[in-house]
Amino acid sequence: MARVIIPSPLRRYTENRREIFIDAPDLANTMERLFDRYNGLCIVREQPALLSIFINGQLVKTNQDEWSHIGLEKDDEVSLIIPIAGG
Amino acid sequence: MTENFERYQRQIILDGWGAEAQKRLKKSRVFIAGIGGLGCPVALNLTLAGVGHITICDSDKVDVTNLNRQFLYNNTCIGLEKSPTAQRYLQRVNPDTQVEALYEKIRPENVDALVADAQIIIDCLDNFEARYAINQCAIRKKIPLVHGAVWGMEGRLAVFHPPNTPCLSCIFPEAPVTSSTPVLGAVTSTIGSMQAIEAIHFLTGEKMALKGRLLIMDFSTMKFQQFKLSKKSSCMVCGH
Repeated sequence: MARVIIPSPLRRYTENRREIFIDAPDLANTMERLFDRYNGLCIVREQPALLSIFINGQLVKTNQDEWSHIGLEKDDEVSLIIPIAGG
Repeated sequence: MTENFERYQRQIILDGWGAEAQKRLKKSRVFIAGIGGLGCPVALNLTLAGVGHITICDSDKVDVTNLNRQFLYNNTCIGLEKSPTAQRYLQRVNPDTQVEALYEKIRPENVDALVADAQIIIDCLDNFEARYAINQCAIRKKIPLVHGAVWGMEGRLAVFHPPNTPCLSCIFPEAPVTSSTPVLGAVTSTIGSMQAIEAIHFLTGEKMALKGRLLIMDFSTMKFQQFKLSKKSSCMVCGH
Protein backbone atom coordinates (compact mmCIF):
# COMPACT_ATOMS: atom_id res chain seq x y z
CA MET A 1 0.00 0.00 0.00
CA ALA A 2 1.62 3.24 -1.14
CA ARG A 3 1.65 6.32 1.04
CA VAL A 4 0.79 9.51 -0.84
CA ILE A 5 2.03 12.76 0.70
CA ILE A 6 -0.22 15.73 0.01
CA PRO A 7 1.38 19.22 -0.08
CA SER A 8 -0.06 21.84 2.29
CA PRO A 9 -1.93 23.89 -0.35
CA LEU A 10 -3.87 20.80 -1.48
CA ARG A 11 -4.88 19.54 1.95
CA ARG A 12 -8.03 21.62 1.81
CA TYR A 13 -9.19 18.98 -0.69
CA THR A 14 -8.20 15.97 1.45
CA GLU A 15 -9.96 16.85 4.71
CA ASN A 16 -6.61 18.25 5.87
CA ARG A 17 -4.93 14.84 5.59
CA ARG A 18 -1.19 14.90 4.96
CA GLU A 19 -0.84 11.21 4.19
CA ILE A 20 -3.24 9.00 2.25
CA PHE A 21 -2.74 5.26 1.91
CA ILE A 22 -3.78 3.74 -1.40
CA ASP A 23 -3.55 0.14 -2.52
CA ALA A 24 -2.89 0.09 -6.26
CA PRO A 25 -0.38 -1.64 -8.54
CA ASP A 26 0.94 1.44 -10.31
CA LEU A 27 1.03 5.22 -10.27
CA ALA A 28 -1.84 5.61 -12.74
CA ASN A 29 -4.24 3.59 -10.59
CA THR A 30 -3.01 5.26 -7.42
CA MET A 31 -3.69 8.70 -8.82
CA GLU A 32 -7.05 7.66 -10.23
CA ARG A 33 -8.18 6.34 -6.85
CA LEU A 34 -6.88 9.47 -5.19
CA PHE A 35 -8.84 11.71 -7.57
CA ASP A 36 -11.95 9.53 -7.08
CA ARG A 37 -11.72 9.80 -3.32
CA TYR A 38 -10.92 13.51 -3.23
CA ASN A 39 -12.54 15.20 -6.22
CA GLY A 40 -11.00 18.60 -5.46
CA LEU A 41 -7.55 17.23 -6.29
CA CYS A 42 -8.60 17.06 -9.94
CA ILE A 43 -7.29 20.62 -10.28
CA VAL A 44 -3.80 19.15 -10.61
CA ARG A 45 -5.01 16.79 -13.35
CA GLU A 46 -6.38 19.80 -15.20
CA GLN A 47 -3.06 21.66 -14.86
CA PRO A 48 -0.48 18.87 -15.16
CA ALA A 49 2.47 21.24 -15.53
CA LEU A 50 1.92 22.33 -11.92
CA LEU A 51 2.48 18.83 -10.55
CA SER A 52 5.77 17.09 -9.85
CA ILE A 53 5.73 13.56 -8.49
CA PHE A 54 8.54 11.99 -6.51
CA ILE A 55 8.60 8.32 -5.53
CA ASN A 56 10.86 7.59 -2.58
CA GLY A 57 12.57 10.94 -3.12
CA GLN A 58 13.23 10.45 -6.85
CA LEU A 59 11.50 12.54 -9.50
CA VAL A 60 9.38 10.51 -11.91
CA LYS A 61 7.93 11.44 -15.27
CA THR A 62 4.94 13.66 -14.80
CA ASN A 63 3.50 12.83 -18.21
CA GLN A 64 0.24 11.12 -17.29
CA ASP A 65 0.52 8.69 -20.22
CA GLU A 66 3.53 7.13 -18.51
CA TRP A 67 1.98 6.68 -15.07
CA SER A 68 0.71 3.20 -15.82
CA HIS A 69 4.29 2.07 -16.49
CA ILE A 70 5.42 3.11 -13.02
CA GLY A 71 4.80 0.22 -10.66
CA LEU A 72 4.43 0.79 -6.94
CA GLU A 73 5.61 -1.49 -4.15
CA LYS A 74 4.30 -1.81 -0.64
CA ASP A 75 5.64 1.06 1.53
CA ASP A 76 6.52 3.25 -1.45
CA GLU A 77 6.17 6.94 -0.68
CA VAL A 78 4.60 9.07 -3.41
CA SER A 79 5.12 12.81 -2.84
CA LEU A 80 3.03 15.28 -4.80
CA ILE A 81 4.66 18.68 -5.17
CA ILE A 82 3.17 21.84 -6.61
CA PRO A 83 4.78 25.30 -6.68
CA ILE A 84 4.06 27.68 -3.81
CA ALA A 85 4.55 31.39 -4.19
CA GLY A 86 4.62 32.74 -0.65
CA GLY A 87 7.62 34.60 0.61
CA MET B 1 43.60 49.29 6.96
CA THR B 2 43.53 46.71 9.75
CA GLU B 3 40.27 44.83 9.88
CA ASN B 4 38.62 44.48 13.25
CA PHE B 5 36.79 41.20 13.36
CA GLU B 6 36.16 41.19 17.12
CA ARG B 7 32.38 41.27 16.74
CA TYR B 8 32.61 38.09 14.64
CA GLN B 9 34.86 36.22 17.07
CA ARG B 10 32.20 33.61 17.96
CA GLN B 11 31.75 32.58 14.34
CA ILE B 12 35.43 32.82 13.46
CA ILE B 13 36.03 29.98 15.94
CA LEU B 14 33.62 27.73 14.02
CA ASP B 15 35.31 24.63 12.61
CA GLY B 16 36.79 25.41 9.20
CA TRP B 17 36.00 29.11 9.47
CA GLY B 18 38.80 31.37 10.74
CA ALA B 19 39.67 34.92 9.73
CA GLU B 20 39.93 33.86 6.07
CA ALA B 21 36.23 32.98 5.87
CA GLN B 22 35.38 36.24 7.57
CA LYS B 23 37.43 38.17 5.04
CA ARG B 24 35.61 36.39 2.22
CA LEU B 25 32.29 37.42 3.72
CA LYS B 26 33.49 40.99 4.04
CA LYS B 27 34.29 41.05 0.30
CA SER B 28 30.98 39.44 -0.66
CA ARG B 29 28.09 40.97 -2.56
CA VAL B 30 24.58 39.54 -2.21
CA PHE B 31 21.30 40.38 -3.92
CA ILE B 32 18.15 39.76 -1.86
CA ALA B 33 15.02 39.73 -4.04
CA GLY B 34 12.15 40.73 -1.77
CA ILE B 35 12.41 42.07 1.77
CA GLY B 36 9.25 40.55 3.24
CA GLY B 37 8.71 37.44 5.34
CA LEU B 38 11.76 35.61 4.00
CA GLY B 39 13.84 38.65 3.09
CA CYS B 40 13.83 40.03 6.65
CA PRO B 41 15.56 37.01 8.26
CA VAL B 42 17.89 36.58 5.29
CA ALA B 43 19.00 40.22 5.38
CA LEU B 44 19.35 40.34 9.16
CA ASN B 45 21.42 37.15 9.34
CA LEU B 46 23.71 38.16 6.50
CA THR B 47 24.17 41.60 8.06
CA LEU B 48 24.95 40.09 11.46
CA ALA B 49 27.42 37.68 9.83
CA GLY B 50 29.34 40.55 8.25
CA VAL B 51 28.61 40.23 4.54
CA GLY B 52 30.27 43.23 2.92
CA HIS B 53 27.54 44.43 0.56
CA ILE B 54 23.86 43.55 0.49
CA THR B 55 21.36 44.83 -2.05
CA ILE B 56 17.72 44.58 -0.97
CA CYS B 57 15.11 45.04 -3.66
CA ASP B 58 11.35 45.32 -3.19
CA SER B 59 8.59 47.47 -4.67
CA ASP B 60 6.17 47.15 -1.74
CA LYS B 61 5.28 49.43 1.13
CA VAL B 62 4.82 48.21 4.68
CA ASP B 63 1.28 47.06 5.42
CA VAL B 64 -0.15 46.26 8.83
CA THR B 65 -0.70 42.63 7.75
CA ASN B 66 3.08 42.25 7.28
CA LEU B 67 3.80 42.80 10.95
CA ASN B 68 3.20 39.21 12.13
CA ARG B 69 6.43 38.16 10.42
CA GLN B 70 8.40 41.02 8.87
CA PHE B 71 10.34 41.98 11.95
CA LEU B 72 12.44 44.76 10.40
CA TYR B 73 9.28 46.90 10.50
CA ASN B 74 6.89 48.08 13.19
CA ASN B 75 3.68 50.10 13.47
CA THR B 76 5.47 53.37 12.78
CA CYS B 77 6.65 52.01 9.40
CA ILE B 78 3.19 51.40 7.91
CA GLY B 79 2.99 53.04 4.49
CA LEU B 80 6.76 53.43 4.14
CA GLU B 81 8.75 51.83 1.34
CA LYS B 82 10.10 48.53 2.63
CA SER B 83 13.60 48.53 1.18
CA PRO B 84 14.87 51.90 2.53
CA THR B 85 13.11 51.22 5.85
CA ALA B 86 14.86 47.85 6.16
CA GLN B 87 18.12 49.46 5.06
CA ARG B 88 18.02 51.94 7.97
CA TYR B 89 17.40 49.11 10.46
CA LEU B 90 20.15 46.91 9.07
CA GLN B 91 22.73 49.73 9.01
CA ARG B 92 22.12 50.27 12.71
CA VAL B 93 22.57 46.56 13.38
CA ASN B 94 25.97 46.41 11.67
CA PRO B 95 27.60 49.51 10.22
CA ASP B 96 30.31 47.27 8.68
CA THR B 97 27.82 46.02 6.11
CA GLN B 98 26.92 48.28 3.20
CA VAL B 99 23.21 47.93 2.55
CA GLU B 100 21.86 49.24 -0.74
CA ALA B 101 18.09 49.71 -1.02
CA LEU B 102 16.27 49.44 -4.34
CA TYR B 103 12.60 50.37 -4.46
CA GLU B 104 11.96 48.59 -7.76
CA LYS B 105 9.72 45.92 -9.19
CA ILE B 106 11.84 43.08 -10.57
CA ARG B 107 11.12 42.51 -14.27
CA PRO B 108 12.88 40.57 -17.03
CA GLU B 109 14.05 43.83 -18.61
CA ASN B 110 15.63 45.36 -15.48
CA VAL B 111 16.76 42.34 -13.47
CA ASP B 112 20.33 42.15 -14.81
CA ALA B 113 20.98 45.79 -13.90
CA LEU B 114 19.41 45.40 -10.46
CA VAL B 115 21.45 42.31 -9.59
CA ALA B 116 24.58 44.00 -11.00
CA ASP B 117 27.74 42.29 -9.73
CA ALA B 118 26.22 40.27 -6.89
CA GLN B 119 27.76 36.81 -6.42
CA ILE B 120 24.53 35.15 -5.37
CA ILE B 121 20.78 35.82 -5.53
CA ILE B 122 18.49 34.99 -2.63
CA ASP B 123 14.90 34.43 -3.78
CA CYS B 124 12.58 35.82 -1.11
CA LEU B 125 9.81 36.79 -3.50
CA ASP B 126 6.07 36.20 -3.31
CA ASN B 127 5.26 35.75 -6.99
CA PHE B 128 6.50 33.57 -9.82
CA GLU B 129 6.75 36.29 -12.47
CA ALA B 130 9.65 37.87 -10.59
CA ARG B 131 10.99 34.45 -9.53
CA TYR B 132 11.30 33.46 -13.19
CA ALA B 133 13.09 36.75 -13.95
CA ILE B 134 15.75 36.18 -11.26
CA ASN B 135 16.09 32.54 -12.31
CA GLN B 136 16.98 33.60 -15.84
CA CYS B 137 19.30 36.30 -14.53
CA ALA B 138 21.13 33.79 -12.30
CA ILE B 139 21.63 31.50 -15.32
CA ARG B 140 22.96 34.35 -17.48
CA LYS B 141 25.34 35.51 -14.79
CA LYS B 142 26.29 31.92 -13.81
CA ILE B 143 25.59 32.59 -10.14
CA PRO B 144 23.60 30.46 -7.66
CA LEU B 145 19.99 31.12 -6.76
CA VAL B 146 18.86 30.22 -3.24
CA HIS B 147 15.12 29.63 -3.51
CA GLY B 148 12.78 29.87 -0.54
CA ALA B 149 8.99 29.65 -0.40
CA VAL B 150 6.28 29.19 2.21
CA TRP B 151 2.63 28.24 2.30
CA GLY B 152 0.97 27.90 5.66
CA MET B 153 3.06 25.57 7.84
CA GLU B 154 5.10 24.33 4.88
CA GLY B 155 8.44 25.80 3.92
CA ARG B 156 10.74 25.02 1.01
CA LEU B 157 14.37 25.55 0.26
CA ALA B 158 16.45 24.72 -2.82
CA VAL B 159 19.68 25.85 -4.46
CA PHE B 160 19.80 26.15 -8.24
CA HIS B 161 23.10 26.65 -10.04
CA PRO B 162 22.93 25.47 -13.66
CA PRO B 163 24.53 23.83 -15.56
CA ASN B 164 25.42 21.60 -12.62
CA THR B 165 21.86 21.60 -11.30
CA PRO B 166 18.41 22.08 -12.76
CA CYS B 167 16.97 25.59 -12.73
CA LEU B 168 13.78 26.80 -11.06
CA SER B 169 11.82 26.40 -14.32
CA CYS B 170 12.91 22.74 -14.69
CA ILE B 171 11.06 21.97 -11.47
CA PHE B 172 8.25 24.53 -11.59
CA PRO B 173 7.60 25.34 -15.26
CA GLU B 174 4.21 26.84 -14.56
CA ALA B 175 3.32 29.51 -12.01
CA PRO B 176 0.62 28.86 -9.44
CA VAL B 177 -2.32 31.20 -9.15
CA THR B 178 -1.33 34.12 -6.95
CA SER B 179 -3.49 34.37 -3.86
CA SER B 180 -3.24 35.58 -0.30
CA THR B 181 -0.93 33.04 1.36
CA PRO B 182 -1.46 31.86 4.93
CA VAL B 183 1.81 32.27 6.79
CA LEU B 184 3.30 32.15 10.28
CA GLY B 185 6.26 34.31 11.25
CA ALA B 186 8.14 31.41 12.84
CA VAL B 187 8.01 29.53 9.52
CA THR B 188 9.33 32.41 7.39
CA SER B 189 12.00 33.15 10.01
CA THR B 190 13.20 29.55 9.90
CA ILE B 191 13.26 29.25 6.11
CA GLY B 192 14.88 32.67 5.69
CA SER B 193 17.57 31.80 8.24
CA MET B 194 18.28 28.57 6.37
CA GLN B 195 18.57 30.49 3.10
CA ALA B 196 21.11 32.75 4.82
CA ILE B 197 23.09 29.70 5.98
CA GLU B 198 23.28 28.31 2.44
CA ALA B 199 24.41 31.72 1.15
CA ILE B 200 27.08 31.91 3.86
CA HIS B 201 28.31 28.42 2.90
CA PHE B 202 28.76 29.60 -0.68
CA LEU B 203 30.34 32.95 0.18
CA THR B 204 32.88 31.39 2.55
CA GLY B 205 33.84 28.75 -0.01
CA GLU B 206 31.98 25.84 1.55
CA LYS B 207 29.70 23.42 -0.27
CA MET B 208 26.01 24.28 -0.30
CA ALA B 209 24.17 21.26 1.12
CA LEU B 210 21.04 21.82 -0.93
CA LYS B 211 22.65 22.37 -4.33
CA GLY B 212 20.36 20.56 -6.76
CA ARG B 213 18.08 19.46 -3.93
CA LEU B 214 14.70 20.53 -2.64
CA LEU B 215 14.03 20.45 1.09
CA ILE B 216 10.39 20.49 2.12
CA MET B 217 9.65 21.15 5.76
CA ASP B 218 6.19 20.48 7.12
CA PHE B 219 6.10 22.36 10.39
CA SER B 220 2.62 21.04 11.23
CA THR B 221 4.17 17.58 11.76
CA MET B 222 7.89 18.51 11.92
CA LYS B 223 8.49 16.06 9.05
CA PHE B 224 11.26 17.12 6.70
CA GLN B 225 11.86 15.56 3.29
CA GLN B 226 14.71 16.09 0.86
CA PHE B 227 14.41 15.47 -2.88
CA LYS B 228 17.17 15.16 -5.47
CA LEU B 229 16.24 17.32 -8.43
CA SER B 230 16.83 16.45 -12.07
CA LYS B 231 17.52 18.70 -15.02
CA LYS B 232 14.79 18.78 -17.61
CA SER B 233 16.27 18.54 -21.09
CA SER B 234 13.15 20.17 -22.51
CA CYS B 235 13.34 23.11 -20.07
CA MET B 236 12.58 26.30 -22.00
CA VAL B 237 15.02 28.27 -19.83
CA CYS B 238 18.13 26.14 -19.24
CA GLY B 239 17.53 23.09 -21.46
CA HIS B 240 19.62 22.47 -24.56
